[in-house]
Amino acid sequence: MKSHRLRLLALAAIPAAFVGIFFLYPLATILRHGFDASTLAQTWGNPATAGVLRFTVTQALASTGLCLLLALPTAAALARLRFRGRRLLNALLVVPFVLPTVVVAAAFLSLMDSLGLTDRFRHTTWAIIAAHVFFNYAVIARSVGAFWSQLDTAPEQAARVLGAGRVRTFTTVTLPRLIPAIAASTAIVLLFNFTSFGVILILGGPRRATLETEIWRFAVQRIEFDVAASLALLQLVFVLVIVTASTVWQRRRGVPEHLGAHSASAPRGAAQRLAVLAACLTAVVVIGMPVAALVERSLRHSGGYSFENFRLLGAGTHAMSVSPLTALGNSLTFALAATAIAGSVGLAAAAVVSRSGGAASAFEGLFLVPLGASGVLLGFGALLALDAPPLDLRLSWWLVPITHALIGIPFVIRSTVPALRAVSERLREAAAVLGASPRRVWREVDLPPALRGLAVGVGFAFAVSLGEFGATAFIARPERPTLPLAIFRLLSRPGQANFGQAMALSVILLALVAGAVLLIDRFRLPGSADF
Amino acid sequence: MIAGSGEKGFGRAAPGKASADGLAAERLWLSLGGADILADLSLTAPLGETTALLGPSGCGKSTFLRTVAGLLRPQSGRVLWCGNDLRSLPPHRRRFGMVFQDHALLPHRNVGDNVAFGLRMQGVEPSQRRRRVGEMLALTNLSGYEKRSVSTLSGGEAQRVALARSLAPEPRLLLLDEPFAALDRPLQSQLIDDIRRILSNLGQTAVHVTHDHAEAFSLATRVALMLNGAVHRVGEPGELISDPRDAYTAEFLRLGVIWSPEIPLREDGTLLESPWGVLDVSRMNSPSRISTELPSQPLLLIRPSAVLLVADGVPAKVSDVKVTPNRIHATVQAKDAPPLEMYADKNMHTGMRCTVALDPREICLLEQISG
Repeated sequence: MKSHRLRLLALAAIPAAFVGIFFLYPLATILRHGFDASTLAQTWGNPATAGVLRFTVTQALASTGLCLLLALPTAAALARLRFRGRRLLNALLVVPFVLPTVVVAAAFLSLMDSLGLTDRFRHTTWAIIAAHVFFNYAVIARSVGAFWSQLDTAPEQAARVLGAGRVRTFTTVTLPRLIPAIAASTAIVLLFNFTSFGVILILGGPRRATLETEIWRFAVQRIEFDVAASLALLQLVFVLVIVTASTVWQRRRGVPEHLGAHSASAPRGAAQRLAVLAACLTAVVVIGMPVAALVERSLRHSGGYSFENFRLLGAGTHAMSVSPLTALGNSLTFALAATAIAGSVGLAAAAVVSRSGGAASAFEGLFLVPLGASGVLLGFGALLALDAPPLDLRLSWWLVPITHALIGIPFVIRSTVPALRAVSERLREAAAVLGASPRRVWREVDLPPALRGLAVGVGFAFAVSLGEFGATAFIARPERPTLPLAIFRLLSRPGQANFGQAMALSVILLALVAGAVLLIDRFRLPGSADF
Repeated sequence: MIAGSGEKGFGRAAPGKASADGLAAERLWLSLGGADILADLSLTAPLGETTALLGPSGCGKSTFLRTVAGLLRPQSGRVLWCGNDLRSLPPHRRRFGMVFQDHALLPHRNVGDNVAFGLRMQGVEPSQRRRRVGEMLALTNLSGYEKRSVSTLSGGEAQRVALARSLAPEPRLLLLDEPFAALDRPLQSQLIDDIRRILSNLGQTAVHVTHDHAEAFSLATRVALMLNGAVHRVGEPGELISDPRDAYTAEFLRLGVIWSPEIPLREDGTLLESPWGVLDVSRMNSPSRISTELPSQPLLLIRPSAVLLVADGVPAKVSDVKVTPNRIHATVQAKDAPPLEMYADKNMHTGMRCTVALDPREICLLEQISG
């Protein structure tokens, strides 16, 4: 019993040390810099800061509201109606979540370009809101839809039998039970919108600054670390408020529900058919159009369609000091390294987390924090903290994959833990009675499902690393840019040729990420964690 | 086969000698979370027979099976197989088989691979393995199921696969942990018949744990009744029914109404006043207690077959009629008397008045133990 405990502690030490050194220590460093009294007063008291904060909050609220409005009908259709193309719609909804922010921004630029609206919409709040809706529409539609589809329909049927009409049943029985799911996904979306970075930087331009872009500007362009740190502190306060409010509210309102029933039925009547049509149309417009425009624009070159933009990427005639193809190589190398770290550290953490108990869930929380803390904070923290002995990684090649791994680890944990926990003790006992030694039991019973879960998590870690922009913008060495950074640089330069190449590079990144996600889907277990 | 041996929990002989063939659990104690789940439990399972351990849910039956399998370690007591102490033998070396209530099939393996699992653990050659899997599936009426995914199986099929899997490595002892509990009635009786046939053809030694006495009686040749973490009584099914001996057994097997008279026996010691007339205690059916002296205040088991409709009986009223597929049961109530169950004919209906008498030969004298 004691040796078992010790083994578990040893297993926990590796991931704990990893998060401690590469996340908590940098975070503490930001706090230390940010708490400098005079800078803090100066920055927080500055009317410019108030303006930035106001814009950050407004755009986040507006984006979230519009998102809810568009996503809830889709969630309803997905949850309760079975129609041809439902799987396709579901697949379409996965797209935005895995798309790198830079690709999304590029997609919206090409959409504006294709529709001839660039002059009117580039660098406007509307462009930002549209891109945020693109990103988060699927988050709400999928998570609320999934929860809704698994809700037991018996209470609704009971309400109908007791005399409530369709609408009355929805407002008094269904909706109250959906509120926790809606609130949870709304909080996440609000957080995403609040901490959005790439989209704002590219689509908003210099005049539409949020806290995130200001942190980046002060840290990277103006090298005023203390100002950046006090802004980061302000951002942290808001993030904490959102997270705490949502957690407290959910704890108070949350009612345990029996999930598991799948109650979708074929649409009946004109209204339901119309609902299906509207859901599909919204998804196609919100998600399909920008992606289609991106692909179209990448193939357009001097008035005709060709692969010229792609050819130019490797031709050496580009305006950058480093070839885009080199950036592709960098990204793949970083992503592989980040995946290896996230996979091994995450598996160790998952093994610890899968033991039930309060300590295990607190341990899991430790790894989920980096996911909520936005790439900008991770990157800025690494920039501040890991540039001096004993941890001078500023010049090291490893800093990027390590930071990417921090974001990948939660995915590994979330996909592996359910698989590990789902193995019933009964199966282990059955295998033991049939003659399997303890080691053999682990190999025959525990490992196969864990590996599938691990494959899913590692795939996500790979995709996330490929597309990561916020943190990378702080820590990547100029001579070793990643694919998203190369796209950003190309977009920052004037000229049709650069724009075309940026689109071509975005399509390559899109293809890579989509490939990784399609591969993941083959491993996904029914009922496993849904990101 | 044991026939009504007196010692609590032991088969035909004293501990130590009894273990010469088959399983012997001796004085097992096991507590989990501060509660004694097994409290001095002893049981034998002779070779070639099916022994059922019968008891209410949560009485520790499954814990006992897990202890026998080696999955749990008793705080004291020992488990013997043919006289050998199994204490130091881990579960995977015991060569026992176990069928779980939820069948516990490995979800990532197909039917054939599940059945072959134990053979693979033993290092049996693939060709031999395939042959044996085929045999086992044929035995359980599942020929051709080798490549099926276990998620496509019905509850009954899954339980057959679980049985085939546990029998494939030719276990010395088969442990059945409520294997029918999750199935519906018709499927249950079909599967019970099949399993009884299979076990008896193979001459398989088995211990079957259940809370359902009908299930235990139809599968087992010996039934052990569990009470408070120990074996309360062992016997053949027929013997337990004809001579329950004590109130706990009679009550658990639902043999009839248990009645304790308030008025003591008459002076002569054999006649008892009852709301149904004077009963002659000496004519009552109590095989194990004929020679012993009668207690002054006996406990009576009044079986449904004891209650008769007679013209000169005590007036009573039919308060309920319950129809089951094989029989009609009526509840009749005489003045100042507890309700009695009886076998009715189809003319009886609720509210009807009738006159009843008790046949003392269908009444059993019981001891005062209850669960």
